[in-house]
Amino acid sequence: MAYNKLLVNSAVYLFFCLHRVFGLVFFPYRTMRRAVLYPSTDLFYFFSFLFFIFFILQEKIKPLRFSGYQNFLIFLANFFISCLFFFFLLRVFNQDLDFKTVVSGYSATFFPTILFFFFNLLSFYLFPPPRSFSLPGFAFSYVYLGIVMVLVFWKIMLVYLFLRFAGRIRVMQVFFIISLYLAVFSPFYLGLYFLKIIRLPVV
Amino acid sequence: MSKRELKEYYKEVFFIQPNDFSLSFFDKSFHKIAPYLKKHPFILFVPLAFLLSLFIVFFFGSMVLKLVSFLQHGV
Repeated sequence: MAYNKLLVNSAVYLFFCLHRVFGLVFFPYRTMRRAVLYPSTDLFYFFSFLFFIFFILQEKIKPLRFSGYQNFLIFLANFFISCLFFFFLLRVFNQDLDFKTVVSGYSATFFPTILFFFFNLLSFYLFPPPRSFSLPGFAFSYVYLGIVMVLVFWKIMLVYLFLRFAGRIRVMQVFFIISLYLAVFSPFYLGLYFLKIIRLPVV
Repeated sequence: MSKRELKEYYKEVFFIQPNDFSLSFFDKSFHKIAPYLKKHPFILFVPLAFLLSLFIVFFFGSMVLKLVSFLQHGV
């Protein structure tokens, strides 16, 4: 009985998450607005699970300084530090903001990131670098760059929507906050890269 | 849609003020682009990204190969 209940709950939860993920692809504006207006931590758990799978797979394909579990913990710490950063900045503009709203909105922006991570892992496995000065090398670079750029545009848009809705701020204030975040966190990500801890920016 | 649902919907839609750049040119451009980004943004993103990457590959050549190798080593 308890097993059946767990199964049904998991299926409903998965359906709910997939519905939101579908919304992020086709109706990002409405989905992000709802993620902020009706905060829930479901997408945070869903994407955390996907990141956990990614770090375990990464450990198998290309071992780094730390194990997959440790990298996952670093990712979680980084996520919450970023959430705190946004929370305190957005509280200046919106006094009613609570931390759960920030976690809900910010975790919804992680779909392009996890897609980029898996795409990178797959491309590394199938076509390991370095690239050569040949036609296939340039063709692969072109396709790779195109896909990465689509994901970057999507990510920027989702972060913009999250900040705009959570802080109820205007576009220039949003870009100011994004610039401030990059200025503060870029050295941290570079440090993670050169210390061979996490070599992709978990933004 | 009932009256209560309609009220809720309007509350959801108008909970935030429209963007204002204080410059009519930016305002007009932004309001022209924004509808394409709110629904099905990939119709705009995919051609734009591939055109931009074609431009980058064409002008930066070998640097692109280094950039892609650098990003791939990120795994």
